[in-house]
Amino acid sequence: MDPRNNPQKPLEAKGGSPDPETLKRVKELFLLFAHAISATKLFPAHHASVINFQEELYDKLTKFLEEHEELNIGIQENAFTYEGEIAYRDENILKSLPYLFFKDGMHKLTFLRDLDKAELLAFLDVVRTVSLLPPDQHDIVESLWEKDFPHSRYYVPDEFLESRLAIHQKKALDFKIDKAQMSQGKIELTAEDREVIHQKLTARLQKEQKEAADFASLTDSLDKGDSSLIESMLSYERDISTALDFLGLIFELLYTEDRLEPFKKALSFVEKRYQEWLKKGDFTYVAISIRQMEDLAQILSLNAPERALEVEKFLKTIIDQCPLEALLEMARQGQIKDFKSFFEFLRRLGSKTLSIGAELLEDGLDPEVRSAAFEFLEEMGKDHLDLLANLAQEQKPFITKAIIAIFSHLQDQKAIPFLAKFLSYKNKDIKIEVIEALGRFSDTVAHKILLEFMREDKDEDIRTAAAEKIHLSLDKDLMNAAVHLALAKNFHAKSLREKEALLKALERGGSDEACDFLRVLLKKSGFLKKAKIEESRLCAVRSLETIATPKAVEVLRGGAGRAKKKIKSACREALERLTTGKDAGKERPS
Amino acid sequence: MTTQERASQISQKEALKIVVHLQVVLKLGKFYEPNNRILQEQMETLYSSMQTALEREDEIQIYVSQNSISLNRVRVRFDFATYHASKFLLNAFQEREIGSLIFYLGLTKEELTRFMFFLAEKEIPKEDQFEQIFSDFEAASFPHILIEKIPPAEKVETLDKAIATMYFLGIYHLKEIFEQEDEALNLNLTKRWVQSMFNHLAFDESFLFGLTNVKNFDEYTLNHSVNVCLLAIALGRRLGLSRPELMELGVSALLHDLGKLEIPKDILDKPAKLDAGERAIIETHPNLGAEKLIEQASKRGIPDRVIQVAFEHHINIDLSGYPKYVRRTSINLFSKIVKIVDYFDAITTKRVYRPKVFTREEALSLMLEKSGEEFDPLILRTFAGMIGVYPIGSLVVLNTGDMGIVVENNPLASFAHKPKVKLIADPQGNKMDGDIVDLTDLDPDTRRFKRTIITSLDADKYNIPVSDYFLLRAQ
Repeated sequence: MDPRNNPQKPLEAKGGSPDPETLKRVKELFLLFAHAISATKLFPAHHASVINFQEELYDKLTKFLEEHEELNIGIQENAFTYEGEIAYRDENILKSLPYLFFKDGMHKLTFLRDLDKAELLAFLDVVRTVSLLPPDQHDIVESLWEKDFPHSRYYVPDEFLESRLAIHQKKALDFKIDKAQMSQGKIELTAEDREVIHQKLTARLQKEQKEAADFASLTDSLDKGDSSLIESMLSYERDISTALDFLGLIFELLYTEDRLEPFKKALSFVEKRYQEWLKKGDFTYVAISIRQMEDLAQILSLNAPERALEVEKFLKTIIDQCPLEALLEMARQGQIKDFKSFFEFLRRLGSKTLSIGAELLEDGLDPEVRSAAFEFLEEMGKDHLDLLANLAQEQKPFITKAIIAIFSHLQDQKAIPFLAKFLSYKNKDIKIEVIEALGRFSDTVAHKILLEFMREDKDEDIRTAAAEKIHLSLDKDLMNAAVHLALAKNFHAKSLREKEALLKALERGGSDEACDFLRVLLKKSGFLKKAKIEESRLCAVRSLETIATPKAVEVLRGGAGRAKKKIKSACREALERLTTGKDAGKERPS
Repeated sequence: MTTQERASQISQKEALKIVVHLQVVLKLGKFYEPNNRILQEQMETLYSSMQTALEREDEIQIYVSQNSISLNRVRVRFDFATYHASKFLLNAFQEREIGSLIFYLGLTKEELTRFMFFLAEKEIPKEDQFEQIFSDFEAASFPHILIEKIPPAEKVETLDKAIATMYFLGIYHLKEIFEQEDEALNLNLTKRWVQSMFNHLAFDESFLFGLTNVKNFDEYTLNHSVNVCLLAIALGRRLGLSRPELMELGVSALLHDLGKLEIPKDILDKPAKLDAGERAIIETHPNLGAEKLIEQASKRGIPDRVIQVAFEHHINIDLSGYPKYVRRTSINLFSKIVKIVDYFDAITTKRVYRPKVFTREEALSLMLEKSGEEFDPLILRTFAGMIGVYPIGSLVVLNTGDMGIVVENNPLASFAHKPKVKLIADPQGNKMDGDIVDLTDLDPDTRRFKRTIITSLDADKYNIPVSDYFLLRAQ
């Protein structure tokens, strides 16, 4: 029997039975102990039942320990005892608390006074963790030993381990040393050794004169330098991620293993580990393992094509079999710790993961996640514009607008037809975004689409926005079409804002065609809608002033001579501003 | 109010300070007169630390259990720097069968000084140690000090047999692991064995170090792996590894050579020099071991570090050795530890292919020459400190002409060359069942050491079965 399992000494039972009052309290403590464990298995740590049982156990246990110094728990197969009396019984082996301790050889468990709450909770957590594992995969003694709790002790006789270890032993363990023989005979030193001894003895005698003189070094019992170096070394080693370290090792192992079968086995282990990380949402390691395997495949392809092929197969399998829906769910459940690596992983899985990026962009409450998702979509989308466009939906305005922004940012001509698709949307905000995006293109096609908006859309705001963004100067046909639009009968009936937007588009075009149109507009008159026509003519004056080419000036001069008083005066003032004062020299070359 | 009635307010730092100084004074007391300046300074520090605690706590109880020291119920935690102090005090208490020392308020410096000299100078009786010490203690009268005998449950009669049994069971357990083909490893059992070894090491490191002199029991690789495991745990403990880390280290060390199982025996045990092809086969064992563990890891939770150590234990600190790394630029801490103890145990073991067996002293010097190239210098230095100048099991010749076996190291670095020695032969070479002598014992007249080691010798050369001297204790 080994009484040295740390302080796990045999704890002698006191003589006689415990007094009924104490036994009652102990029974209550054991029951609370069992309840506290059951509650932690059923509910999360912050659940009221868990907290209540823990609090009550702590309060009653510390009170008991204050009075009794310690609580010795005897452990039987299905029962806890106190001073020889059964104080708790549970015969259901599957969930029995006494059996959990008993099966690993524990005979006694003791709690000591000064046990604090953190220690008790940590103790309960060990018991809970162990009890949740399959019986052959846990060992409560080993778990408690590792924790080394200062105010709890246990006793496990060495015989328990001996019997377990010796189960399959065929050989007897008895070793016989003949003590008598060890005192018999003589050691005959060789001449060589005798000479060495003689020489060293002479030297030693001289040295020893000094040796006894000073024992001051006894106080300098530790090398402080080494001590701090060791601390730094340990702290450095502890900071290294075991998983990363292991990934590095497995790379080396695979690189050095030139036999195909063991290579495959090791590779399947990487896959197993990879799947575990994937399941847990540890995408840092998932991404690194893929990266490493890609590197390995590349290196091996130079001189070990067979093994390189295996790695490629491995990569293909893990990519093909990746459960995309589960990934999305994981992200939604907040199980992903490192989104940067998560998106790196998605990139490696390819375009099929675009929808995950889109969903996360739509769902993500965390701005960093949204930003990472946007970057991901932008990067992946540039080669898969069609797939990206397919992700847009009128009822998902956030992602749709993001896709429009990506198209706008990419400035790829191929994106324009996809943007055109949004013409059919009813959502005004989305349409406005599309118009802005199209306006940023320097491609005629984009602006022809804008012209379509100006022409066809029923919403004045949309038409106006399109007019504000269109660049008519890109193409003569565009300009002509715009002029035609302005000359249409319904032009004067449009709102001032829309008319101004159209005229400003012509201004931006700055062409002779624009000036010709404005000349016509200045001359326009009519009995009906008089006010509206006048409004249009005043707009034309402002546009001509802005265009400020010699032709525009000429048109203004014409207006100043012929038009109605209000228009004439506007033309004169415009000309004055153009030719005199601080605005002089504003006239632009034709 | 006494400490029995309220929680102690002693901090870990305060407790450690008192215990370390108690140990220093106890050691100095053996060599110096009370008026020595160094001793007085240390006594002053001890007294003032104790006085501060006494004024607050009323009493200070220093309690020694099997492998731990508590001060007013606060278990003192020792680290690398204070490890030797715990070992020294545990020994000092246990040799005298003292279970606890209690100091009460009112203790004077004079009384403390007298008491420390009483303890330090006291020749330890061979029988009824405590009874004899207690009777002298009462006669000397220390009104504010009480000594208590180690409780029967704490007193270790002899656990040597249990330790030795567990040591051999470790070899058998490992054999079982090595022999099972597709069955999953029962790592729980392995861990329990490592845990047991740790507990035994914490209690009597010397005896277990002595057992590492058992070589070639059953198959060499098994015996060697158990020795490597013990030495690795002990070294890890010195370095300050936590219990979970020590557990992983122990399992790693035990399984580090698992790959050798796949190497043909005629190559492993070839008495002649290996040719290039055979050497290449031998050098695959780290890969084979790691792969075997990887296979097991799929069935059981084998820690990654265990696989790492199996793969890395022949890679040197400068990355020479084998296998060759292509990317990694360093090796794991556990691999560095195992590499050192593996090498030490290997070169001190007689093998058919190893014509020259190094004595433990020679092995250590050889390894120190390779520090920084093959071995991590810091860990090697710690290992050298642990093993001592004359490692346990060394056959030594004393200046008296006697021959003996080193059975226990002196925990103090400054006294590393003054271990405890079991005398086995007189100056004429006649074998004897001699006493165990402490080489720090002074001649009271000359104040010089009674005995000194002159040199160590190769025990195998004289057919001296070193391990038997240890196993005899377990019989």
